[in-house]
Amino acid sequence: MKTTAQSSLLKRWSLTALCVVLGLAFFMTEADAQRRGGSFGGFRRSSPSYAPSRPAAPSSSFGGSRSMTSPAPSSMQRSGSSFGGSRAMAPAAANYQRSYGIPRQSAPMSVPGASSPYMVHSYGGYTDGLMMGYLMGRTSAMWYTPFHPAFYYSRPTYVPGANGAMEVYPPTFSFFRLFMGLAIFGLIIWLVVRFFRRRAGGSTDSQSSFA
Amino acid sequence: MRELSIESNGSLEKTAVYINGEQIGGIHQMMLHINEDGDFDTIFVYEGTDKQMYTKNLFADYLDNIKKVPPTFTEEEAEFLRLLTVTSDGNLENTLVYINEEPQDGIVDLLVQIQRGSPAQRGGITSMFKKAEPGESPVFRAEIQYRNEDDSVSTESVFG
Repeated sequence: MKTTAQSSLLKRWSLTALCVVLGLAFFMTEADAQRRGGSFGGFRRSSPSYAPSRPAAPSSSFGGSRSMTSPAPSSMQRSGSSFGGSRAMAPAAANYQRSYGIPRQSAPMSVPGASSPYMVHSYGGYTDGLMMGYLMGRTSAMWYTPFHPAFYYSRPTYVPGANGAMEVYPPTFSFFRLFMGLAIFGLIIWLVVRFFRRRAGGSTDSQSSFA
Repeated sequence: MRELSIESNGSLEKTAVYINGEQIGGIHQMMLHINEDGDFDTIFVYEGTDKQMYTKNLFADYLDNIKKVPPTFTEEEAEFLRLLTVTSDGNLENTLVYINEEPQDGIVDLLVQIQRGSPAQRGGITSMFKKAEPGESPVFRAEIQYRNEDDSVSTESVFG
């Protein structure tokens, strides 16, 4: 009985000691790796420190909608030297799509006056209507006055796509135009108030020395 | 000696003030109170050419940056107006009063108070959302008191 109890106690102690050693080894290795800053040793992190710009792939290629991310143009391919040539820019369409988000619908659309159909990205809402109005040329003079909501939105954004087709993004709300509108309204109100005040209190005319 | 002339029909709209023959503009307030007892109050408040407000003694002070304007009344218009002229150096003994260029005598008291009204409020757009404060109403008062030969005193309107 005594030997059985002793062996059981020994097993428990050895198991505990093994856990402690393993734990210490883990923390020491992790701390060491952090201190050294190297790529070797330690454990791979669950989330990589470098996040690729490519969005995470869906779990399945089937279902959902096709992503409109265009392939990188050939000009993006790096040459042998950093000197000479022209600076390669990130594709504009990708930049816009990054800021706008994923469109609800992207469909080619023939636009009056355009030789090739435009790829129109729809995000829903009021700006879609504005975009269609601008594309079809169905705007009115009121759109350019602060009395119409369209005044407070920018024009649709036209981005040349990688395959030569023009991509169109809807207008966005412009705070600059909002301030412009407020300034115009303020000016109108000021002029009206000034007119009525002058009419109400205008007891003198230019003939008087008291004008 | 300074010569002050006021040409008017009794209303503020048809009132021109001349100093030494030149018409003056930008006047806000004018007060003449001269009597035989020695009161000699001549207050002149005007906006100068530099947009500053000045308050001066009309016959004693130099009128800084006073705004001179071209004559506004034609001769035809002037026929329907009366002209009060006061020449003085600030002393009662050297003060002469003319009405339509006729010298006056036996004056007991001369009171001329002309003040243009000020708008109720001036505060830009924000003033629309505030309760309007009452402004100053225009004042036009011009009276002259004479002592008659029977020692009675009669009061007349200067531009009446």
